[in-house]
Amino acid sequence: MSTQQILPELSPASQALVAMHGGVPSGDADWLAALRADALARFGQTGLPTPKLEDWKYTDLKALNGANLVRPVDAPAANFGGQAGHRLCFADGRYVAAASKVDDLPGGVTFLSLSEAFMDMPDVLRSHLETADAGALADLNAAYLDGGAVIIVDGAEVTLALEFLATGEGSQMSAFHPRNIVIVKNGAQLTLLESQGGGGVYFANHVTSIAVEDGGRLNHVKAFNHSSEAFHTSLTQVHIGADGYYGSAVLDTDGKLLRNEIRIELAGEGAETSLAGAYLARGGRHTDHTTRIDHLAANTTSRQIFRGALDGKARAVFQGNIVVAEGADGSDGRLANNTIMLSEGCEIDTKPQLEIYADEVKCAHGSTVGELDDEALFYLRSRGVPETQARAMLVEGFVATVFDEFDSLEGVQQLRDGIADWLAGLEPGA
Amino acid sequence: MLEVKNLSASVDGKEILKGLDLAMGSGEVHAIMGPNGSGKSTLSYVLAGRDGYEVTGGSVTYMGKDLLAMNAETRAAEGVFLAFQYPVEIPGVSSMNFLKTAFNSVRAAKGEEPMDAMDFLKFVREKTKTLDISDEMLKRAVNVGFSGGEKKRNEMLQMAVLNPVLAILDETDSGLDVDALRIVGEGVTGLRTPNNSMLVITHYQRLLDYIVPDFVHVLSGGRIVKSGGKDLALELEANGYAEYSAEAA
Ligand SMILES: Nc1ncnc2c1ncn2[C@@H]1O[C@H](COP(=O)(O)OP(=O)(O)O)[C@@H](O)[C@H]1O
Ligand SMILES: [Mg+2]
Repeated sequence: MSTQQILPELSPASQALVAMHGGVPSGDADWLAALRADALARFGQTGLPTPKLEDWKYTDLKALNGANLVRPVDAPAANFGGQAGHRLCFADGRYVAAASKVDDLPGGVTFLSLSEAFMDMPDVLRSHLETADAGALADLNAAYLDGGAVIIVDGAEVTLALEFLATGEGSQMSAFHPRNIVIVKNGAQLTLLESQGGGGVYFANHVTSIAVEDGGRLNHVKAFNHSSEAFHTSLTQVHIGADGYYGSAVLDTDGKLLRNEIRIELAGEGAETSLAGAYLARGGRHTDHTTRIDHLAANTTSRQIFRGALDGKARAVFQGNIVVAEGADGSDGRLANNTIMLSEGCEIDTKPQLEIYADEVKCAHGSTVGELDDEALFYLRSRGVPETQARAMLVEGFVATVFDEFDSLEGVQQLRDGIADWLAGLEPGA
Repeated sequence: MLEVKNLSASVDGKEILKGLDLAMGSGEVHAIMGPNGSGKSTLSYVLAGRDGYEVTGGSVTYMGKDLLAMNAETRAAEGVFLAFQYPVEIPGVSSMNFLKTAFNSVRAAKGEEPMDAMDFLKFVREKTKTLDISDEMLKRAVNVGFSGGEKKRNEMLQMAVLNPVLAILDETDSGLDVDALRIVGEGVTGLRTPNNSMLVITHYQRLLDYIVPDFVHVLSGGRIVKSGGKDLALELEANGYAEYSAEAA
């Protein structure tokens, strides 16, 4: 790997990310070392995504250029919440066995860290990793492959948690690249609670590959509460077999720049997905939720609802694409994006899209951008509710409904609480 | 307890109240009647403190204080309540949460501790019985998908919970069928105490069968053009407002 060439036209951040490859762990199997090298070579050709790419038109990673990017230290100290239940914990992307709990797993449940999985089940990982081809950030992730979880649920129903904590301190920006691989077998059910957060300056580049096999069900509850100095990119790719289901409930409340990208392939007949997202942004934060749903088989269903509120000079991006392939007849796809602007200085770019190549499909998409309802605000105030609290109630009522469908799941109350926490910091209106 | 003197107010630059005078004593019920567009709702919004309703002249003294100097939430904390002609829908906020927040906000403004959730539930259930409001309705988002009658009953519930010193009822009877009118009428009557005053804005006499006014005023062209006792309401019901509209013009 030491022969890696760095192209001079790459951005400073991209060059720095290539140059730190000395930090790749040694002792990999040959296939893994080769996979890393290939991925790094591909990344070295493209560098980080730029707004020249259609998908990245509204989100620019150039602010990373000024950062002092480094590899995270080997054993960062982190304070995990110590939640109950089975969980894997990661500090700066590195597995922390001491904080994790993986004993007494129910039968049919495989739940271990990536590094352990490389030893225990290299073939499974190899077939997963070698078929993944998802752009520059996934290449970058593959080149470094820090910690992450490998989850296989077969004939069981289980709730598992992943906790990612960053410990960024000082002016150096540690860049780390967690990778999760999740397989839900026929008829199995998994609720996956994922939380990401931390303090200080860091660049967390997550990739999660999920296969929901025929008749499997996965509910994925994600709480993003990154540091306000953090850069976070997350790519979740999901392949769903016949009559399988993937549900995702995401709350995003902090992070200097966040990109949450979800790509779903509804590959088997009757496959279903439902994505709910809430984004709240103030100050100068930039948040980007990008989805793509491919209806590849007949009678597949997708639902998406993303709602947010923006304050200060915050900027949000929503790009949602529903693609119905030829032959995917009887597909039903719906997508809604609604944003409330709480200040004059905030901004949203919303781009819902439909591409339909099949017959008899039901598809609908829509987006709205508006301000808080004056009448409703007066109604609350006329009942004695102080203005700032009244605004918070209206925003909460508007945003939190995206999670109604997921209310029965563990972890969703935490998302609701997260919305309330963010709103507690609301400034009086102009 | 309320003294409105020579009050003028405009909305979007259009003058709607033009020198209105009104004096109410403690425990009194005053009815305001008048043709559509005469400024009844505008008066109620000005008294409740809605932004965008610009007072261009006159004064309002409430319990010895300058009402117009207070913002809407302060007025509510001081005991002013407006039952809206068109109650507002608030998606995603349950009626119960709304009531509890309102109630505890008013308590907080008075320096009191919030009521605990169980006690509050009991307290609300006492009020919902007479208003024929189900627990299910309390779980629904405020006024969302409510029928006209349900919305008005919900206003009465809020009034019962907040127990105002001055209640302004803006056409609370409009859009109600006979049964709903009875429920609302009896509900309002039950809230009357020697210390609470009510300003009942209505188009018809029928609500006044339940809540008998001490005084009746005719509002036309942004001013009170005639005042009298409860018989004036009957007279208006019989003869209509034609006489007063002409006078205003
Ligand atoms: N926001 C507004 N902008 C301009 N004119 C208004 C506005 N609201 C009410 N008006 C006008 O003010 C007058 C009084 O309205 P309102 O107070 O609602 O009357 P009422 O309740 O007696 O029917 C009407 O002519 C109405 O058209
Ligand atoms: Mg009116």
